[in-house]
Amino acid sequence: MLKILGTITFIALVILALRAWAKLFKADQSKFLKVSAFIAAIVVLFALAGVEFGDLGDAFSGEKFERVLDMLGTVLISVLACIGLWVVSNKLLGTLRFGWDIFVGIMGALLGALLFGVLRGNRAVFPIFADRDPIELFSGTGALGNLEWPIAGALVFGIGGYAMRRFGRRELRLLAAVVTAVVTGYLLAHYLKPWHRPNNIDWISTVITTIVGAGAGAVVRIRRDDQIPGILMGAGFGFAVGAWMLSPWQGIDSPWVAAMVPPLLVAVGVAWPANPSSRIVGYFENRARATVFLAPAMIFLLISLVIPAIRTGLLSFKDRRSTEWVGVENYNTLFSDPKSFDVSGWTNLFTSNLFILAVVTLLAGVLVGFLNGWRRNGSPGFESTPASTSGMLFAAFLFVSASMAVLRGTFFNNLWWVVTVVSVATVAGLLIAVLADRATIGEKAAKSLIFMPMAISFVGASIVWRLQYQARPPSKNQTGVLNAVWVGLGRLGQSGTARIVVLLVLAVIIAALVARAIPRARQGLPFVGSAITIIVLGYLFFRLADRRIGGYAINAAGEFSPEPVLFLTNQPFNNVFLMIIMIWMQTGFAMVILSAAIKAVPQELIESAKVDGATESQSFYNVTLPQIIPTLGVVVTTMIVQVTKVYDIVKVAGQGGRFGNNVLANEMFEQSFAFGNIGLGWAIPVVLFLTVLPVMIYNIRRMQKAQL
Amino acid sequence: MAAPAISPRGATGSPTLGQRIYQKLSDVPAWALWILVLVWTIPSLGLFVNSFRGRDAQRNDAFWNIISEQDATFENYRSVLSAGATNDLTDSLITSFAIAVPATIIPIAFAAFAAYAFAWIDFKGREWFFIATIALLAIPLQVALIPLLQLYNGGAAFSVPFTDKTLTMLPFFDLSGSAEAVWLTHTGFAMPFSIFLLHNYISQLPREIFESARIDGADHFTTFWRLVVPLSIPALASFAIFQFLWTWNDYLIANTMLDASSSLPTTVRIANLAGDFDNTDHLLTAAAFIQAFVPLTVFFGLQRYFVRGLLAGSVKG
Repeated sequence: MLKILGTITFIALVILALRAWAKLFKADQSKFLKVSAFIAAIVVLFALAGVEFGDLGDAFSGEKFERVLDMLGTVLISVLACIGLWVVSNKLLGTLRFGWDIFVGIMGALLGALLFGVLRGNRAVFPIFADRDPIELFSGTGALGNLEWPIAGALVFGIGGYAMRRFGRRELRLLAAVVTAVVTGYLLAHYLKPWHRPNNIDWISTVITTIVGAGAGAVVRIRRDDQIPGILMGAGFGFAVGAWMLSPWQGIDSPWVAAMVPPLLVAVGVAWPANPSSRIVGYFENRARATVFLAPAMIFLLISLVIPAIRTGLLSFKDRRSTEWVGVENYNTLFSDPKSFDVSGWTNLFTSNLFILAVVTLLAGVLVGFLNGWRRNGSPGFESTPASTSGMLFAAFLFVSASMAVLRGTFFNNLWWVVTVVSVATVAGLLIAVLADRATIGEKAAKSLIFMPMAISFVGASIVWRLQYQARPPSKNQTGVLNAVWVGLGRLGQSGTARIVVLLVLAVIIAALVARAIPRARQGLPFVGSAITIIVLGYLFFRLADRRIGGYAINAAGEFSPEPVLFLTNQPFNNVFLMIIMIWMQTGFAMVILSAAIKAVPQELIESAKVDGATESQSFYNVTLPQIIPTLGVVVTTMIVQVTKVYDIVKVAGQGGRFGNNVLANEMFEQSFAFGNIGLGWAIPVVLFLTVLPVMIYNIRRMQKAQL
Repeated sequence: MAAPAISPRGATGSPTLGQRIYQKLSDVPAWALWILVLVWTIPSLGLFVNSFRGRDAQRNDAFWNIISEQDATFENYRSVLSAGATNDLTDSLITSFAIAVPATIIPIAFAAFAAYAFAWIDFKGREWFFIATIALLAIPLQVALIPLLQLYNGGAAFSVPFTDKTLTMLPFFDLSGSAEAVWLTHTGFAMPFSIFLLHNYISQLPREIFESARIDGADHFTTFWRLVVPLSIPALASFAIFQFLWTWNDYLIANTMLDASSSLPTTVRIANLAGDFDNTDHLLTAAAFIQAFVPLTVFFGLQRYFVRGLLAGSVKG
């Protein structure tokens, strides 16, 4: 069956592809050539692979191909079932055209099938033919045995619903309702399994629920002129709750009262009002359409997000087997475990290099702002420039990194991930987008190459970067690119002539930069970029002159030996090296979106800013940036969603988070599956959720505003 | 785009070859850009080159030594592609497709329905409903993973409060460990974001077409099918590509929902290979490249749509 469907899909896909191909030939020949070349390249590649690896050549005949057909068949069924249901629902609504009675009949049939199907699914009823027919038609546990109840339900409710709406006279409608209800009640009472029979109705509860239900029914329809249907239906449901839920289920006799009363009340309630006017039908159709369009998405959201999230929230207050309520104990465990939440090292913050660098950058940013204010206004005062703002933002970023490096534990690691990856990838993406916008050569190719990692999986990227980070014993060749470079630098620092040559080259570059920057500074043009480059290169220059660069060690005897960095195990910065993997992947995403946003900024705005004497960076800061803020919001939100999910990288490249580089997703996984502590496994994602919540609320509100 | 600030033009107005070369070389943004591109590409290049090197070569020195060693080989690819071998990946490629294809088509379709309803069907509380849907973006999917796994493992039953009775809400469909469990999960988790993006696009279609359709007597279903779908093809296609890459590359959901006895998608297989340090380390390069081949093909083949779809509505103009 699956195979047949799979084959059909396969043939259909081939035909569709050929048709599209032929159409393209007629429409756009240059595109046709391009597409053909692309397809040909793939075919040739596969052919080559087939020649090289004999097995691929047989791919279209053997067992593999059968699996492919199976897969196609399953996919076809899934897609058809999901989308077909929706189309059918729409078509059902379309039957409103034929009249309200037909529509109610069809909907009644569906409702009946569903209701009786649920009863059967709960094993509440006998097979209909079981105790009558020795052949036991349909009965049993097979698909047909389970179908006889839905079919019966569809028939009773369908015909009943149609009849209830067919007649203009109320008496006839009520007659149809009574007949339908009696048949339903008979089926229920007669075929219920004994242990599902509510014989001893708890009358006190039932009367109360009936009254409550009737009241609720009246309230729901309070705005309508006729409240009898609401009261009747409400009473029916209330009676059902009382008689079926609040009363014991035991008995031999058929429960005639419990089975008859609710259908009667509800059916009379349904049949009572006159047929709706066409205006009301139109109103109803609109609402029903909205439901049909929204229902698939909402059902999925409800089942796979909302209910599980609530469940997780509740169960996080239960113990490790989810049996006893333990209050906030799981959270206590989480925050008292130094592995997940460790603030003991916070005093080291003020002595860390990162912190000092943050302070220096902050001061530099403030200073630049002051200088700018002084130059502009003639008197001391702060006035922000692009350089001062970015300096201060960078200082903030450094400060967060410094804090995260001393505050250890899974929880802070996750926070660190979010802050670092989102900010660095966004800024790098913005930078590349701007550069690509200005560059005269190869903009498209460069963007494709930067974007490419986005198409690779996290697992694949982790493997790519494991190669880069590999560290081998000092005596051996370094196979990791980064360590090869690092150790090479160490060698360079200890070498003779090579070091001198590099020093000379560096000196020339620095001199050239200084020579360029000084006149610019005199003219009052921005020179901060050059200044930063000069500082960085000068630092390298002095380190190299001092022979203190790269990875090396000198033992007591004064002998040199290379010393690789253990990127993935040195705490706490192994976290950062894992984050780089994600930054590598996400930058392309930020770049593409921001690049398009930058291109969408009206050129006239930038031109007029230039006419007013703004420099390139000023016009970017004052004109382009405000225009792309909404887009930045989208980028940041998307990225936060991605980063909170991070797990694969830590698992594959970070060796399962064993070196102080664990993240919450991985911790949750381990607690739930490896350590069997489900309670803690529930609590962790809740913490994760609460951490991200403020940012997400902020972003969602802003997106909402940008939309309206 | 923007010409360099100083343009050394001759008196005739057209630059000489030397000037043109100078102009290209003095293009600082291009230089900076290409240096970044180089940095960005080296890791992938390293992987690609190493996938053609044998186990010992990979272990002993860095990838650029392939030039001096000249010992390129297809052995790694042969190991991961030959049927029946222990590290054969072809089965898991099929499983990956079985997950990624429905996990792409179904959420896009459902999200398009919902986006259309939010944008063009008038009903009470539409705005609040939409905000609530978008707010679900804030829920990290980890929150829902384990409850979903339990649902697939045992169906859902609802114990009626204050009574001793239990109702089976969803029967046990025996989904645990199957590809269906994975793509169902993907579908649910993709919903808020895809509704958000597609709504951005669909809500910006011109109002007039909907009004004229209504005057012609078309109901919402016809309007959606005949007007919205054809007009939104760029957004739908691009978001489909995006979703395909996400689901093809997913590891967390697949690893949660599947167990060792099920047929595993490529990401899980490769991650398992990676955990097996000594024996199969050298195959990882080829395996990772094969895993990346499908998304890279999709990506380079359909790049233009990809970008356009993400931008749907987020960039004005």
